[in-house]
Amino acid sequence: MKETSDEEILSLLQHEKSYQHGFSVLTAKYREQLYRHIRRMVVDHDDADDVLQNTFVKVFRNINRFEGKSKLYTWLYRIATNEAITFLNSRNKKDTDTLDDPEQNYAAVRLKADEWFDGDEIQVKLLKAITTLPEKQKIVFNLRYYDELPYEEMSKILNTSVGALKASYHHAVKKIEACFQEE
Amino acid sequence: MMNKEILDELNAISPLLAKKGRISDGYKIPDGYFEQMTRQVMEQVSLMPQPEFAKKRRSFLTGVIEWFDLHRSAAPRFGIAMAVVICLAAGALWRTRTADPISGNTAVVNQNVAIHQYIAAHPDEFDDEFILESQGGKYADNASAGEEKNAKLNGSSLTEKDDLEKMLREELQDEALDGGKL
Repeated sequence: MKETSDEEILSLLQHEKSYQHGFSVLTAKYREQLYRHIRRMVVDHDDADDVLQNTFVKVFRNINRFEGKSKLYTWLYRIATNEAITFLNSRNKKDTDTLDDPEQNYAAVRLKADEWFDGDEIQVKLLKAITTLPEKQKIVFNLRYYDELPYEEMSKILNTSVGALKASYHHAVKKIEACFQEE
Repeated sequence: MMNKEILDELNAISPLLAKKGRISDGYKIPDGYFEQMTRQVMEQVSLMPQPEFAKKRRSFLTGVIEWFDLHRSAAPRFGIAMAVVICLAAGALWRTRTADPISGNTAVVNQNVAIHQYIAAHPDEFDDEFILESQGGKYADNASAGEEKNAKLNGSSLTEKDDLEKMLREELQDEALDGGKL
């Protein structure tokens, strides 16, 4: 079946009668991409589900603000990233009192218990290494390594220059490499 | 399989990681999760008001264009455009046809009035017999009818020039009668 183009989705969203339909088409087209992006940030499936639903609700409320200057998925990634960061900040605040390094420990604990994770040894090693990265480097690495986004798109999502993103990715890869060499 | 550009970049930074190839994240997604999530989201948003731009008032033309955008497969643009052009052409033709009789009658009336005025202004060029015939004949009727009609059309009474013509005609008629008696 032919995938609906972003132009067609936006056209549907501009009519009162087709708005709901347009929104469900948008959701169906981008839900998996956004879910994976969010899941890599928050790790847990249930948390990813909450953040993804919040993301789509925000998209529904604000689609009239999308000016078409960037690609639709860039705009969606930006909202999803912001939602995930907001969620992580609130979760880290709760965990600060009980854990030394909330995010790293949380990921390590949750990965073992998560029934929706069946990664092998090397996958676990990589995910643990990623959790050691600062938040911004973690997002940059995920967008580049897993989602394979061009730097220009990442620049629009994260509102950061291409040069700074390249530097961030370089540092992230070096740190992950160091983690692999340690073990 | 990793994008070549990204793999080359990774290889330049860390040959160790690049050698391992693309390592997937290992996350599983529950069966039917996306369908369920979409239903939940749609339930939530169905209770919310739609954003403002979806309710913007649009012009008729914008509405027509957007309708075509939405129904591309159902109504090929070219066919509809042709139908619109044919309708416009038929309308223009109908208008021209219905306008002809009116303009034609007006033209005849104006022509008769002009001829009549010319005869009145140049009595020397015509013999008396012709003038008498025209006074009492069909042409004269047409001319005077034309005058009246023209006057009605203009919304005014006959002009001073018309009065002069009438006087001239009467004089000519008297002269002709006198000549006949002699």
